[in-house]
Amino acid sequence: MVNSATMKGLHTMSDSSGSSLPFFRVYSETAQCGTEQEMTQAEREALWLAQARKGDKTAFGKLVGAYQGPVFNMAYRMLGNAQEAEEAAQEAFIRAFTRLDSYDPKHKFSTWMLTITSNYCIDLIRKRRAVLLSIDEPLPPHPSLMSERNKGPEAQAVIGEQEDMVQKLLETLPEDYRQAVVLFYWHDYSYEEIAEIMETTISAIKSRLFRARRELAKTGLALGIS
Amino acid sequence: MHKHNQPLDIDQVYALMMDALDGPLASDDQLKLDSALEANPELAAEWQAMLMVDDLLMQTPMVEPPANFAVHTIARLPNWRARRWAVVMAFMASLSVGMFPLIILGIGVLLGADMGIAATGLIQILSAVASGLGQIVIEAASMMTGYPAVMGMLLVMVGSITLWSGLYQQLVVRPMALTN
Repeated sequence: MVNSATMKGLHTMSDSSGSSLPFFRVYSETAQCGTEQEMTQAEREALWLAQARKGDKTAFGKLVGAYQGPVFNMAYRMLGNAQEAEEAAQEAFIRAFTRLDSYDPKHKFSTWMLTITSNYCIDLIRKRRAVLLSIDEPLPPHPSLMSERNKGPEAQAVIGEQEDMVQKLLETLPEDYRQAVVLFYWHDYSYEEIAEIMETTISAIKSRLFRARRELAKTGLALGIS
Repeated sequence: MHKHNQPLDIDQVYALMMDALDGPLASDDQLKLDSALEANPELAAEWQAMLMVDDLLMQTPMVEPPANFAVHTIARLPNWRARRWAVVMAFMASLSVGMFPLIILGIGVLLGADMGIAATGLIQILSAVASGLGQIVIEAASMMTGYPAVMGMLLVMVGSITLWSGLYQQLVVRPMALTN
């Protein structure tokens, strides 16, 4: 799931105090296990996590760069709105940063991040429902889908329609079904991993996916999917 | 998986459908599913819709975040170091204030002064500080009642500064490139 192109182009913000990078600490930690280029992704991630736990925003920025794609996608699929998704994905990263001490390295960082993201999105959906805001209004397609690389207007229109259909289908699902569907179809998680993220049993996940698929098929037929 | 020659009940057919969506079925199970679907056109239509939705979800790519997503996210991270320093400084200040009378008393004892005299001196110092603080409060209160317009203006200024510092954080602070 790591987007290397994003990582290469990653930019971050200086400390509000204007301090420079914590060079000495980064140097001493990387010196023990070689340069970052020589490390495996897991080693790099462990190093960034160790540095981020000490409050190093630059190191955390690298984690943001590595996981922004999956986190944003999860938020967008759950909320169906690009602006809200951006806000939610940022909030998920901020929560992760402030709760790094509670992260258990036995689990994958991506799993932990997606747990935070999806739980936050579910909270948002419930709040949105509580204030009786309609989620039935048509949602604008995400800008990144409208500017698909090297694709003509017809291809863009097809992608836009496909995206509209997907979001319409997802919106019909209860949030816990939606969460399972997004994790299964876009993040390639197994039933076991989805159960871990959603803090439930494998049989419960199978049941939710089964019901979600039936619900989606019903809605798909009603929407004239072809 | 399922016994031969026995018609499947609806739950068994759905179980086979789910298995088929997760991966290819054993040929025996595939035959059973096919015959069950043939016998039930309504179920067959639902199965076709399921396949189409499955295909659509499989083909729909991940949505990418906006270009400056990481920059904006990092800009919103809380500054732990500044907070820690602020807490430490506040703690040290309150500790110093609390320790001050004890230090005076200790110096008095070390210099061989009589404990009673040292304590009296300390009480005098503390009462002087308290009356000074009281005077400040009284002056502030009379200022508030005497010049409400001035106080209102001061409050507006404080509000404006607070608002501006928030806007400043959001709009003015610019990111810098990360160096690996």
